[in-house]
Parts: sequence; C-alpha cells; structure tokens
Amino acid sequence: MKKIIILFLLTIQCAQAQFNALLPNDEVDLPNEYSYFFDDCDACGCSASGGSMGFNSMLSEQFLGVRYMYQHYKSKDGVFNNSPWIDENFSTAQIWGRIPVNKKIEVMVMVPYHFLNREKASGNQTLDGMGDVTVMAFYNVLQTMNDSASFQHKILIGAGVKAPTGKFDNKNNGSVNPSFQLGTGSWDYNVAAEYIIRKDKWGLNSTLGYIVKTENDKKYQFGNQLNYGSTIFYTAAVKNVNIVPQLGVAGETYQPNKDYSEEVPYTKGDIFFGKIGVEIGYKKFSAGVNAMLPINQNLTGGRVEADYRVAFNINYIL
Amino acid sequence: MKKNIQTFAWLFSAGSLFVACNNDDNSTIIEENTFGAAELYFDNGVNGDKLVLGSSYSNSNSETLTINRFNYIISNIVLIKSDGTEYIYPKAKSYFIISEEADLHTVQLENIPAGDYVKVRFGLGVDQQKYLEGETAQQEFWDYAVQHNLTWTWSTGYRFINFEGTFKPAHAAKHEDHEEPETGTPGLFNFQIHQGSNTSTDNYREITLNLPTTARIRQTDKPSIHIVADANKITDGRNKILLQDNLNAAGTNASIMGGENLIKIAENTLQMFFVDHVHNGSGSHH
Repeated sequence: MKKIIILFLLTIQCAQAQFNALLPNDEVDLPNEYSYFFDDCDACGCSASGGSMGFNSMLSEQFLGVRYMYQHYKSKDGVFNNSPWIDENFSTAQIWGRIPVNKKIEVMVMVPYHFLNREKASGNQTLDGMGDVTVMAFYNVLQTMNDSASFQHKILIGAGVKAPTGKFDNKNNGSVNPSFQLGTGSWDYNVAAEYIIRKDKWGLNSTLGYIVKTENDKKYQFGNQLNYGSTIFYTAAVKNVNIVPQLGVAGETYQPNKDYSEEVPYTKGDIFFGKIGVEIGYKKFSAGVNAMLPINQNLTGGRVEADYRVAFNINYIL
Repeated sequence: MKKNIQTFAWLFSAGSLFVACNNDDNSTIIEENTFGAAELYFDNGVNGDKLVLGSSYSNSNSETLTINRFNYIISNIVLIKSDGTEYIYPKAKSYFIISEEADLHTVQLENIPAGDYVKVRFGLGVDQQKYLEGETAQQEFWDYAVQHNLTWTWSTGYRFINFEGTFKPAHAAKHEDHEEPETGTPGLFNFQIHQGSNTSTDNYREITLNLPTTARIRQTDKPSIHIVADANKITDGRNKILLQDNLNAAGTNASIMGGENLIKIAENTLQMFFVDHVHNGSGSHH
C-alpha cells in the first residue's frame, strides 16, 4: 500500500511541477487590447470543483480524500475569427468526502483550492486561492439487499449549497473572462440524484445534478448548470487489491450568465465528454485517476474550447 | 424520514437567508446630477478577421487587398437611453481620430450624466456645420487631422476615411499599353480611398448602434463599448466597388477620391460598425 501512496504522491508532485513550470510569477496583467469578456463559461474557473468531474467513487461510495484536477482550455483572445487562441490552465486541489451520518444519510463536502492561469500575448495572468465550498446532504431512497436480487439498486437524492468562499473579483469582470474567478461570489443551490446498479462484478453509476446560481453582490449571475454522467465499471480483485476500471460519458449544460439581470451574450453552452479511468483499492485506501476528453462541445459560441481534464485522487474509505 | 425532510428544509431555508441579504449594490440606483465617463473602443477588422496592416484580405469582389492605412474620423457622439432621451456630447469636444497605424482606438468621453444607455450614435467624418465654422475655429482638430493624413487642403476639407494599400485585381488585367508599376511586386497596384464631402455631395453620415447590453454610466462605473469596424464594407458592402475599375489611365494606381463612388461608400459605411459587447464596471479594459 505504501508503494501505491508514494507512487500517487509522486504523480501529483510531477503534475504540479509541470504546472508550475508554466507559471512565471507575473502579476495579473489586466489591460489588454484584445482581452475579452464573454469568452468563457462557468465550467472553467469557479465551478471546477463540481461539474461533470463527478462527486463519487465507483470503488467506495463513502470516503474522505484529496483530489487534484487539471483542466486545459483554449480561449480566443479577441473578437475576430483570426484572434489568437490562448491556453488556459485550471488546476484544483480539493478535499472531498462523502461521510455517512446514519444508515440513510450522508454528507458530501468539496473544499477546493484553485490555481488558475492563462497565457496571454501580453503576459501571464494567475489567480490562486480558495474556491467555493460545496456541502450537500444525500438521502438513500432505495437500496436493495445484496442477496435479494441479481441486480442491486441504490438511489440517492441530495441537496445542498455552494458557498461563496472563493473570491469573485469585480475588477476582473472586464478584461478577464467571468469564469477567471475563484468563485461565483454567490450562494448557489445544488440538487442531485445518483443511481447505482450492480450485477456481479459490473456496475453502472449515473448522476444528474442541477445548480441554481444566484446573483452575487456585484450583480453578476452565472447561468444555471446541469451536470450529468454515466459510468460503467468493473470490479476485479487481485489478491487484496481491488482494481476498478471505468468508462463513461459526462456532460454539462450552461444557461446564459446575467449582468444586472441582462443576459450576457456568448455565455451559454454545452459540452459532452468521454471519460476513462481506474481506481485501485487496498484495505482502507483507494487511489484513482481519470481523464475526460470532449466528444462534442459548444461553449460560448465557439470562443472557448475545452481540451481535456485529468484528475487524480487518493481516498480513505469510510 | 420526517427528520430528514426537516433537515433538508432547514438547509434550504438557511441558504435562502443569505440570498435575501446579498442584493444590495448601489449601482442600480442612478443618483441625480452625478456624472461619469465612458469609452468607445474601435476594434478594426476585415470581414470577421482582425485588420493587420500589411496583411492581405480577399473580398467577395475577388480582389485581394493589402491594407497599409486605415484612419477615420468619429464625431458628434450621442448616447441614448431606453426611453429615447438623448445625451448629446458637447460638439466642441466631439471629434476623434481612429488610426490603426497610430494605434488610436479609443474615444474617451467625460462628464456624461449617470444613466443606463442602450444606444450610441456617432458621425463618420466631419459635418458641414463644423466645417463651415471656418479654419481658425477648428485649427486644433484640423492640425490633428493633418497629422493623421485625414485632410486634403482647407478648401477641399477633411478626409473622413483614409484607406490605402495595394491590391491584386480579380482577373490579371491586361494592360498591353502600359508598364507594370515601377515599384512593388508585378500584378500589384496601389489604391487610395479617401472618403469625404465635396461641393456636390455631403458624404458625412451618422450611424446609430444598439448596445447588446446596457452601458451603465455612474460616478464610479465607466463602461467600455467595444465596437468592431469592418474595413471590408468600404468596397464590399451593399454597394460593390471594384478597385480594378478605378485604375488610372496609366493602369498603375486606383484612386477613389470623388464622384459617385463616395456616395456608394457613404452608404456602405452605414453597415460598417457594430457593437460586439459592452464592459461595465470600473477600470480600463476592452
């Protein structure tokens, strides 16, 4: 097990080092001729903690752990067809967990810390800090007994809040895209449902979530967001180690953002991902890695493109 | 189960408390007799692409233009509220030059009554009223325009647009009688389009643009209105003007500086501008 942990920590460090290499320590450089306001969606920055990256583990449904996520985007630095594409890197280190309260109720917590960076022609912009904390309570509405059927079903429904613990900086609300923010600056409300069906070693985990976002004190309101995903997984046991390969799809749909109650052009969008990953469990620990590649996307009228997302996590199984 | 439902209810009501508390920003309130600033940012493009001096662009007339100069005069700015009331920017201060080569892209406006504005109107060029004020009355702006190649002589007046470069005609024109241009690449011809008024026609035009979102001018909030100017529209708008048809007798150079073409160009320029977006809030940005 130690080896696995060490290997995992090394992987995180490696990823972090690579990311740091991309980051000259330049201060945020605000004014830029081609800077563009509407070129992003909530997917990228402040709600990176959630989205269709998921809030579950196929291997252990209740856990406490840390997760590192990296998202790479390209966005247009200007309003023209031939405006340059710039790279945007969003890294998030997150404490996450699903903690049982009693037999029927569990609490899900996500506490993110973001490292945002974009490489503009005029220099680098970076933004680091605490993101928005999400707390949700899930209620187990259905769980079939293990021996009662060949198919086991488990259904959870949940609701919660996303608190504005990440800073929303109005100063950025011009030259920097609205999602180049640590948080939405608003109290947002989540509802979600999760359905897990298992048969023998196979399983299918499907989630559906909706986030209602409210207007923040700068009168900016990010658009409501629908997240969905479905992952098929297989549990293989090799001696004491559980290996759970998984393959799935996930998607996100965004309503337009609003500024002073007016819809902001080019802020709605949708994206659909393919997802592949594996989790490895040993005794009370599990580690996972997954990658998401877009299959189809239409973010902000084509002014933003998602490249890929990767995530690593290490969990303590509760 | 009942307890669980109560828990959810509690979570929601606790959350809604915070929602109720966060709607207090004084920017929605317009204080009487306060003033603010605004900026018009002119981003020059060619048919959806960014205008880069020295770069080539093909148009629907099958001509390829390499643009070396794109300067123009913006004037007589009016900001319009949703109820139709207009704020006319003081005429004496309402003449500006946009120049790609001199990197002049902004029109800075000050002391505008705080308010929510939904349209902007401006003139392209210089109106007769201003011109007829005479030379001494506008010496400062005249000198500024001279500096940016936006004048002829005083008697012939201002150039509203100075659009110059080289072009490659649609079909390799045969000019058996003539030499190729002495300088430059064979097959390339110089062009100059100098838009302006003259004794026969007043080609000054005013253009009204809708803003996609409201520009909120406050003492502390300076909106930036990001306008795209499409240089392609000059010859390739509602009216099609072939540079090739305007080659001089020697077949070396196409100059459009008068006549019917200026009236066509004036009509084309009505479709030359649109507002891409509006930035609100404090600070300078685009």
